[in-house]
Amino acid sequence: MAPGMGGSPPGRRRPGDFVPQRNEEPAGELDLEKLEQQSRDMMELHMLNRDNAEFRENSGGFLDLSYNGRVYEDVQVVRMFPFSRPDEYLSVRESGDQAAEIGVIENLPRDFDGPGEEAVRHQLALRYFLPAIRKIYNVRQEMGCVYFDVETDYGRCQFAFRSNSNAVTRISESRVMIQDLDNNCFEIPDIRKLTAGEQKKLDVYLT
Amino acid sequence: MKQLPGSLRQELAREGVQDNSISAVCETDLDETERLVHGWVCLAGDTLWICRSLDTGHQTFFFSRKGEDRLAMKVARHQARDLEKVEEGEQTWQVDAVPVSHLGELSLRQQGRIGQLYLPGKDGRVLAFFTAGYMADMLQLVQAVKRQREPDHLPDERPGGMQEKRPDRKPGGTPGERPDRKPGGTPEKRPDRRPGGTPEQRFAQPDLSAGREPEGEEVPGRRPAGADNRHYMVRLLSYFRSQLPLVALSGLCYLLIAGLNIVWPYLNGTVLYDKVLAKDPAFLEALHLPQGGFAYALILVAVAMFVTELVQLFIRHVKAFAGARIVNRMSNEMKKDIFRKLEELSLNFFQNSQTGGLMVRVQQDADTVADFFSSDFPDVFIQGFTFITTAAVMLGLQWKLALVSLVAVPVVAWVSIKLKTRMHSLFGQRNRSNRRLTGLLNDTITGVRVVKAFGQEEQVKKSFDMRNQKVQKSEMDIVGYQNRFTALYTFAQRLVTLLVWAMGAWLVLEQNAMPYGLLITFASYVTQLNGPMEFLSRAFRRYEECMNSAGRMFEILDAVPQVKEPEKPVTLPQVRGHIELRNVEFGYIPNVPVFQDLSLDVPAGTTLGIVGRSGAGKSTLVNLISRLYDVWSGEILIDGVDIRQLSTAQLHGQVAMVSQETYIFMGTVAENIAYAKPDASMKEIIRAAKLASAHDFICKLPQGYDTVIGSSGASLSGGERQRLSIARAILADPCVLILDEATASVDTQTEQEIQQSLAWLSRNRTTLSIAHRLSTLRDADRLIVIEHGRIVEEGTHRELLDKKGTFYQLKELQTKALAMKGLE
Repeated sequence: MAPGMGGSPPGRRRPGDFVPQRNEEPAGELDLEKLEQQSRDMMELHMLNRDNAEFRENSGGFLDLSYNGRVYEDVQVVRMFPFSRPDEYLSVRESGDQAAEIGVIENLPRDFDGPGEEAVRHQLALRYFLPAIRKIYNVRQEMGCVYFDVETDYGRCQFAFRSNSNAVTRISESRVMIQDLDNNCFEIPDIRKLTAGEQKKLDVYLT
Repeated sequence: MKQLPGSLRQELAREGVQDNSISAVCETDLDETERLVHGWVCLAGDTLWICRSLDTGHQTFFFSRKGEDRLAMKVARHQARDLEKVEEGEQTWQVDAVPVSHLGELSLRQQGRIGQLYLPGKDGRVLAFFTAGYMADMLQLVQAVKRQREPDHLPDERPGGMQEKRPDRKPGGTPGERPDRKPGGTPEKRPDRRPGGTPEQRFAQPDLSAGREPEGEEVPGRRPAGADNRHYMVRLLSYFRSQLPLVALSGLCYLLIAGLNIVWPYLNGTVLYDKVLAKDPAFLEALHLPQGGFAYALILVAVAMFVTELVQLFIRHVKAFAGARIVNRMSNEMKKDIFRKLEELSLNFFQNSQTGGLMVRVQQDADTVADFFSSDFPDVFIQGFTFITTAAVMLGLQWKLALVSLVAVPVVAWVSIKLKTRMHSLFGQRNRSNRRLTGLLNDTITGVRVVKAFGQEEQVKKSFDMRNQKVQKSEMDIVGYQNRFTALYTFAQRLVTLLVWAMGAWLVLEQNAMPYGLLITFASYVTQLNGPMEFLSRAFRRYEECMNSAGRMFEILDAVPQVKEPEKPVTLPQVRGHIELRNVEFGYIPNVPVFQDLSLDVPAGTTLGIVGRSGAGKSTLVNLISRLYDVWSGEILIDGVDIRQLSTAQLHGQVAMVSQETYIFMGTVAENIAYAKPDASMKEIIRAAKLASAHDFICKLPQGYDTVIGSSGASLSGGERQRLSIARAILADPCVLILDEATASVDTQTEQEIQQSLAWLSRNRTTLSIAHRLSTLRDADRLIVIEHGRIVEEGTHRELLDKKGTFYQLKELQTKALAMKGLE
């Protein structure tokens, strides 16, 4: 690991003050201390856990976070590794365009429990709405678009994606994700469990 | 010293020059009208002899074009000399003597590809003309003449500062210390050593006659000397060594099939017709059957025939299974070997090879070879065995008819052998046209942006059509050539069948020399002989095809990386990152050095900014430090150890480069960041991304660090790719960091963000930074300005500005240019 990557002890600087000052810094006028401070901010991972942070679902159904004595409203929870580690390394970000990172949940079931964990999970379920395809009824290609008619665990639906658009991503040997024209995502947890006919319909779009 | 041809030695002896008085010689290959004429320049005592052959018929001419051609050139020269040896008796020479005292400042110069040995001054004249390849030898001769004229002369005092003795060029060797070098200090300025200076300096290039051995060269596109088909065959067979049990099983199957092939016609013909249907009582006795029990005998024969067929089917199945397994493994092994070799080869090899061509080699050639070994090679045994046994049985049964059946075999064999050579070149032609087509496809697909931007679609289509037609033509050539033979073969086969029937019928009817069943058996055997005959007709063609592919495959496998792994690598327990360049000389093209006598010292943990105009050699310098190329002479040391003595793993583990060309491999974002450290934890990856200002944009990707990027994945902007490559370098945690225009492809704001990451990253780490924007180098501990492969200025940012030299000019120019754009 690079020297200094260990970083400063947590809580030395209020993460609420974590504003992207570096973008406003004119080039060349680099003050060494400031630079170091910024570097520390840039590299630091503020780990959130039940001891220093509390999640609560507010009345509007959004997620609030109290962390180091400060309350952040309507925070977003982003999975850094949505496929490989869905419950680990969750980036908790402020609302708004900038969406600066407040902290990171390293392991949700380990670091949180009870209503806090539930609230985060609920947010994640909304953010990562991912119906799993159980059955493929029909696939047809027309005018450069591919139309799928499928049965998912949320019910039957139809969606479309552009052909030749890498819309079908292979996450592992057997797991496949499809992103449609509206950025909705569908998952086929195990293509081997599809019938030979269904696999044949899908085959041409697989990478 | 090179050996003068005998005829020239005799000629010189007639002039009173003794062999032992000749102290230096150099070959020449041109006359003053640039015709190819063999000549020599010899220094004997105090006379320089300019010799020219009066025979011009057998000259061989070789240009030194690129580094990789050097071996071929050497080999060709060597062959040419052999040729001369043969013909030397016929050569006559014209010799002119020039006393050394008259020679003044004998000099060398180069005009384009032609070098001249000349006497400058008022009565100056050109003494000899030669091509660039002889320049190094000629330089030594000129030095010898100068020593002769001024025996007390010290080389470094001469104007032009020529090196008396070139440093030792053995790869990995340590060159001798230059006497004028101050140890540890800054190298002396050598303003006289411009590449555009005297020819002696320009031609101080890697010696072709001494120094690097030919086997140290990578030789793409050429057959290794001495390699022939048999040699390839032996090497290909070695791939079977690891699967001997399967090979043995396969061989057994072939033998059984060949044996059963003999049994079947015998049952079908002689036994069925002459024994059972002809009601031979001896046959019943032999089978211990009751008298008149021919119905039982018939059933028995039918069962035997059925069982034979069944057994044969089973054996064929086992054989197919074993064969497929062997060949699959072999093909995999070969591909693995080629790929490994490609990974070992240095950058030069790839820069001189077409990507498409290499892809064809890895994929198709291995398959072609494996294909031969799956279908044709076992046939050598099965068909050979079938042929020998069938012929033997036929000869035993009825020798006259057997001879008639075999009459076509030598003809087919002879024609096959005749066709072989032509076939080889046809296959080579087909492969080349395929390679060109693949190359074009590769180019067009990777460069589609340029093709479209310049509206070159039509042009590309045309050249595709052209190359495609060539592929088609080469295919048709092969098919056409093959068809001629197929026609001949079919004709021979029909003729033989007809002859056998005719002669057999005559023997049965007129002579009564053989029974009818035997004729049926014979006819079956003739059909059986078609197998070996047909095999003969294609064996040589397939063999040539395989050898053609094998040749190309082994060419890669035999290529020796120019940047070699040391035999006994030195391991540094802890790398501090002190970099030192001592009298480095390097160039990409022979005779055209980029650097000459470049020395540089970068203390550990400091930042060195490298400044210079485009093409000054900045990137070359850092490429040499990361040992993507090896220096011609001189040495590059890290912590006092020559980098050629360090293992490449350690070197590349300690020297990381963030360059203007970022490459994203097919894989997830996390895998790309962890490329140099695959065992990195997720936390480390995230931290590296944070440091490289990449974390935020990665989190915004719908699949975060799991997003698949690269050739068929999501596309990233130039700045995003650049930040990923910085994260990669951060995670690698090198002792020496090289930033080669790391922020060239990003906008000003992103550049500022990245600069901060880089500034943090380069603390306490030896950093070599090449930056497009000079202002970004102001924090460097020291700056050097490179021009024409030399360091022309060095100092801190402030010092260089105060000096008002090249750096100042560059900086002024850039400030003005940026001010005009309103950027600074």
